[in-house]
Amino acid sequence: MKIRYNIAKNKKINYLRFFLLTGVLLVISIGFILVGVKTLSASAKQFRNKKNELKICQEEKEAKTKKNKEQKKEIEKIKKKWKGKRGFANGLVNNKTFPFLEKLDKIEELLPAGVFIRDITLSTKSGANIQFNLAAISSSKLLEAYNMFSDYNLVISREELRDGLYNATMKIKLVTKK
Amino acid sequence: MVIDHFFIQYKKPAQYVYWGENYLDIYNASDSGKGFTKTHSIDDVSLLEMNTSGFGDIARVLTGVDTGIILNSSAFIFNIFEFEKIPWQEGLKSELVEWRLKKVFPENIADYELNFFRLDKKRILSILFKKSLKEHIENLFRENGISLTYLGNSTVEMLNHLVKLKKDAPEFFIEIDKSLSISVFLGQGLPYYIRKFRADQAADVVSEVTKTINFVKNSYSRVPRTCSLMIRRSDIELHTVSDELSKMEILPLDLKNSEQFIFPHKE
Repeated sequence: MKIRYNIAKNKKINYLRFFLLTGVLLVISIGFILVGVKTLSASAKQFRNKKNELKICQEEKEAKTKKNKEQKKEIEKIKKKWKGKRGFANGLVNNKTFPFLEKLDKIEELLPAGVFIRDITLSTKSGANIQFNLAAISSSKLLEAYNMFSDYNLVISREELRDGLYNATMKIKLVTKK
Repeated sequence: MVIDHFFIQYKKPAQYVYWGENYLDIYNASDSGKGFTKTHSIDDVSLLEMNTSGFGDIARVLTGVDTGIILNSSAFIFNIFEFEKIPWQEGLKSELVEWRLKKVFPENIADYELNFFRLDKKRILSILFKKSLKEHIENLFRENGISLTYLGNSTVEMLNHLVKLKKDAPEFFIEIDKSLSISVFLGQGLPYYIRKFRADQAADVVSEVTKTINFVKNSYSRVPRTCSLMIRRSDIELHTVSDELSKMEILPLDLKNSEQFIFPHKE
């Protein structure tokens, strides 16, 4: 530690030393600035390259997004088209003749001997009511028929004895497989 | 402050006047460029009684170069203050030093030029010098056309030289200039106690030094073992002082080139 004790009023500044020191510091500072500028410009170049790469990536992404949207639209269109086709196909399946036969087969299977169908009204829709008129040779045969159809929501609307035969109008509900 | 000192340094004069106890010595830079050589010595000149015409005779001896004046410590007042913590702000530090000075110094501080220096984390050295005396010196030089660029103190300059020696520095030194003696106690080259006294006889010097050493032992719990005598001019028998110091088991150190210690360092 140095005690710089000089109380003279007219001290003389060592300008040569001052300017030399300032010059040296200035040169060092300029050196640092140059190195800094060089480093910064290299970094800026690298940054620009990266920015360009990023831009390209973004453009690619945008193109892919656009393509994706178009493809989704296309898929939606195809889906819509297929939905229509499927609906039509299902309609066809629903309206096919096979349930008819199946229902008639079932009714035939359920009818006991001595009972026959005079007329029948049925729908292609599954679960729709089937209305028919039965004619039986005896009341016991008619009752037997009632028993056979009792599991199928049997609703008897009319009974009469005509021409020596026991007639009945009834409704049942048959659920068939599609 | 550190930045100021780093950038702005002052030219050191090529010529110095050492003004001692009623005498002055004129020194000029030696031809070898190392140190200063005494070229003139003038006796019976009192700084306080000196007037412009009287100084004119001296000025004629001085060469027309920047001149410095180094005064012995008779007109300087030294104080070392210890604080818990020294603030970094110069303003606060100055207030703190002035506050402590007012407690120990009976005169008006405004009449004095106050300078203070941080010695370490806790201690500050304050130096007071009468403003009127400073103006008197500056007038003497100015009126005789001499450029005064340095006004310093011999004890401070010696301290600056000793601090460089660090562990090799004596534990105290006594600067003797005729009847004026100043004892400075150092720890690691830095002062911790300074005392001025006047004594014309060797026995009186010994007595004062002994008293001072005892005071330092009691107050600072330090026992100095090495000492240097820095003699400017003296009529007393110095060997008496040396002998007495040896009896107290204080080893005298002869410092090389110590006559140059009153001049400031070249930066």
